[in-house]
Amino acid sequence: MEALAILLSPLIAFLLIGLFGSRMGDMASAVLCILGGAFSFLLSLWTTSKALSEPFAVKLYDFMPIGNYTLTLGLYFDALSSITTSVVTFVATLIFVYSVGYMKELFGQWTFKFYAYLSLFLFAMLLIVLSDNLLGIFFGWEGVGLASYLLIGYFHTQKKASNASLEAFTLNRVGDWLFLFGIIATFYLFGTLSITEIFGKVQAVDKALLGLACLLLFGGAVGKSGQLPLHTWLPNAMAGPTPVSALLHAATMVAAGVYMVARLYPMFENSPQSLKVVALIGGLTALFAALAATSHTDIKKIIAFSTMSQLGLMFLALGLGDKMGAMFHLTTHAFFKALLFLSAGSVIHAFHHHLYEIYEAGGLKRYMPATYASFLVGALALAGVFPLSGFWSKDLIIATAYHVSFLWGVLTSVVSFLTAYYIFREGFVLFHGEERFRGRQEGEPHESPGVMVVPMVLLAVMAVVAGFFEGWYGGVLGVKKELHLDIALLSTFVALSGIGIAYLVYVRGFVDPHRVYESLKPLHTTFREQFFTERLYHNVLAGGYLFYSKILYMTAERQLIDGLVNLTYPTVRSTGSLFRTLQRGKLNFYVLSLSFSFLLLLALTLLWR
Amino acid sequence: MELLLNLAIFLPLVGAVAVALVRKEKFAKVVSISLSSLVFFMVLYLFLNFNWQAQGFQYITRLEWIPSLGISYHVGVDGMAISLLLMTALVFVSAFLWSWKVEDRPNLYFALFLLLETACLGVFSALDFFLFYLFWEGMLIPMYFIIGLWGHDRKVYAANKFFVYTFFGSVFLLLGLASIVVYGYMMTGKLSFDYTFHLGFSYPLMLQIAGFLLFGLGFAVKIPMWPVHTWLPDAHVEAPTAGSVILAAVLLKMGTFGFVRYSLPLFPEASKHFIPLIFFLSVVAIIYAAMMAIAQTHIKRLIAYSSISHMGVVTLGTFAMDLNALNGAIYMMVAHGLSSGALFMSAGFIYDRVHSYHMEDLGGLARYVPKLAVLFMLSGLAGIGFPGLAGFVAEFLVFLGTYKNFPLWAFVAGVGVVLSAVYFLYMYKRVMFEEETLSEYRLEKWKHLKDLETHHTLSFLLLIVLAFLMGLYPYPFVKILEQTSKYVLGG
Repeated sequence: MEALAILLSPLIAFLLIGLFGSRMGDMASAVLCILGGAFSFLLSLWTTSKALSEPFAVKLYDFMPIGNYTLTLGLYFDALSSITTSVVTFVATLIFVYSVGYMKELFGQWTFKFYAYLSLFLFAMLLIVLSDNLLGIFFGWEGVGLASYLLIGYFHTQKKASNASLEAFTLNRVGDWLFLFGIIATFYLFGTLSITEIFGKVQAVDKALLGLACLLLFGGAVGKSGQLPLHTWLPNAMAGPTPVSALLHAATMVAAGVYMVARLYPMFENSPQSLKVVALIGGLTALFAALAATSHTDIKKIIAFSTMSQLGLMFLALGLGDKMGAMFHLTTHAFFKALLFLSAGSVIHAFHHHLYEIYEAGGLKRYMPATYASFLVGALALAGVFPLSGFWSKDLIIATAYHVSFLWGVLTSVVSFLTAYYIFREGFVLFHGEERFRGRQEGEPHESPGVMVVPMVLLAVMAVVAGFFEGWYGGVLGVKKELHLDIALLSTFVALSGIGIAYLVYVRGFVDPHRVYESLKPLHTTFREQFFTERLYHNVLAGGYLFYSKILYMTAERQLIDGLVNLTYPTVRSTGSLFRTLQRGKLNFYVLSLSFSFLLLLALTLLWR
Repeated sequence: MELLLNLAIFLPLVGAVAVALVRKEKFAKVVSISLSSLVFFMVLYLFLNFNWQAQGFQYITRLEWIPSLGISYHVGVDGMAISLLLMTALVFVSAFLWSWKVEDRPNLYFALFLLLETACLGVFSALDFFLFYLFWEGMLIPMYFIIGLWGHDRKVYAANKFFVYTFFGSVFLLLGLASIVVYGYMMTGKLSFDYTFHLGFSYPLMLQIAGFLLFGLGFAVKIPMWPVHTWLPDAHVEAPTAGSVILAAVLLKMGTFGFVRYSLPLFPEASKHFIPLIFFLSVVAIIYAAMMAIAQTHIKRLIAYSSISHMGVVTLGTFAMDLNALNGAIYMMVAHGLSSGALFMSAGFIYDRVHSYHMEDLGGLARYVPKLAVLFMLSGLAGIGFPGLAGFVAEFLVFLGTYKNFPLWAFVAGVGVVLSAVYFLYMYKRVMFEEETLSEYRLEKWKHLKDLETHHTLSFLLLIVLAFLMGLYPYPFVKILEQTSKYVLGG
């Protein structure tokens, strides 16, 4: 029952806010939303302690019969799911609290909707994490898709937001389509959808079909985690309010893809071919997104690309057989990425939601010390500097990569270098240097209110200390890992050199970055345009689909099919009028045809003999 | 119980007569709503008491009618029929509630709808070919007048096209019915129009193929399948809201119902021969109609094409020759009835308020009619098969069942999942969002829009609540179909 309440409390919050939000008011809705998340978090701690000693399942109800098999919905708590639940609810609750400060200016404009969507989001995410069967995961899977659609398009009066939300839902649905067929293939393979039963039979099934099922399932993860080639929605999703970006990119939604692969890891482990694909997609995305991040100047988009890149690393780790590294990086990433987004949101908030370009700010560290410190902690953790959490988790992945092949290792090092560079580029431009925001607005930017700063501080603490739980985390997942001194030294050096270059360029001004970018313009544009994939999708695929649909409608539908249908009327009419002349009561015509026919008959009888 | 079924079928007919005779507006409305609600509760009672484990038909009534020709009044239901009856009865309640404010010739309007209800309920419960055909054609006449009298600009064209096109299909259906009746007479010397009588035969293959094609053409036009579908968008565009709701929710199901009830059990061999053709037409319908949908700027035309696309899923599941797929196909009939009904209500409401169906004239409505925005979204989600709503269960079962024997067909048909989301959300975006692109003039107009009234909300909720129920707890709703599906597949 307590276990069920984890899932239900955000759902109840959603229903209450959704139904009565307009009467309760926005503040009450916000409080309810926070309570739902906090309650869930507290209960999840309790169930985690229980699940660590003994995994347990909670059966809910018989959902539907599939042939002779009856699908029963239920929840499954083991180390993986319960720890993820705690992390998700913890980060989500802090983001909820933060959003009270962030959205304050919009209170009174039906902001209760925002909290309803947030609660729905958390509920759907928990459904993914806790479900004990694939269909339950799919429910949550589509649920986060819907919630993200609503949240990304929250400022739906703007064209930008509504387009971004449409794109997000569409690309997610492409993934969902593959995922759905992955579920179906899995069902025929195992005769069940319950994940514990699947794990029991995973050795006994046909490897080729298992590989196919895994690839289809992974297709879902690609859509949800914004990996290549279903990635363009992710940076555009920044059209939503910043707490949404934090929620989307830290603990929920995009993390769902990684979590799902980790959850079904016994399946993937038994089909090495599919793991290769996972590794390839992950590695490519990690590099691709890191390159894109270096040439963007939007406060939030840089961090968004960084998420994509880090998720790519996690998939790479999964593909190379290191589930623990991937999941541990997912956990630490949840803390520092949420922290980075909240800090970015704090900056945007300080400028009343009118500033999104990093080059329009600058020198903010004097005015917003807490935000600066938070950003710094988040950036150091992301760059993987000892002893922050990112260092520990990234070290695991890089060690695995070097262990498998030198090539993968070099790739992860390059990505780490780029990561350190682009995040500090953003940090230095935003918080150091001259105050470029002068003249943009009255008064000076000020530090955000306590309701926003406190969650940031808590997340900063977690971003620092989470790494020390590495041993413990490995223990509960049943994996033993050691720190690799050579790798640790190497990656520290890589991270520091990335930071160093950013420092030299953007603080010391050794090189003029604009001139460099100008001289490398083709390359810069390629990165900025994400290797032109976005244009390809928007103009060629989406545009082409729309264009050819219209052409098809005008030709095949209107002219050919309906044209033929409408042709029946004149045809029938003209045939009718043709025969009508025969019987119009004109006696001359009758006599004429009578005598002609008579002659014809006579001639026939005479000639036929 | 048996009596209850007959009462449910003919009560609306009695109501129709009463409404037509007593020429009072209030009377017509109250009688229609209360009678249809009564019918719904009767059907619900029958549904709840239905023995889902028993094979064959239940609540059977059989009376001699024209003994010399072997025609009898024979009604009864199986799991599929009772589910469709439940949906039909509910949709009619919803349509009547929706029409609460109809001012144009209300008595005739409600009388025609009541007449239509009897015909619709009759089609699903008839177990005699003659009776079935009577109801089948009987439904054309009220619908013809509903479109022709209460429709929009090109109502006469649409009504004529609707009538002639579907009548054209029905003629073949009649020929098919006649040919198997004659065959039965030649074999046994007994002239009978009874459905159960004919189930016992195994027809020679040539007759099966001929019968399948004749029946099939009649059903295909009604569903409508690609490429005999072009009457539907025109009929929907011109029909009044309640007419569209019934047309989409109930009338389209008659064709798919016919395939399951008649084509599959009567012509099992021929059905197997035609699987590739039906699959091809279904998949083309799913993808082609989705493409047609996104090319539209007229909301109702878009929803009409979405119906064609979804009916493709139904025909795919029907002919996959798999228990789950057939369950899913029948489930889809009910689910689509609920979702498309609700979608047409949304479109109709927008027209009532804004007097346009064209997306260029719309946009940014979400903030001014928030209740509609929520219910429109829910209807759309039900339509695109969002988990937790009935459509998802149906799609999942169809794809699952089809995948078993025809994985590639199922996979390609699955593209519909993506395309349906695209056209719905694209429409929703253009109707509800992007206020910043609106002109001052329109914004000023929008500010005076009135949101849903109580009767609107009620009619929406009736459909949406059942869609949620069937999406969240499908167990009983699938179970009740199982015996029908097993029987139809020859198990």
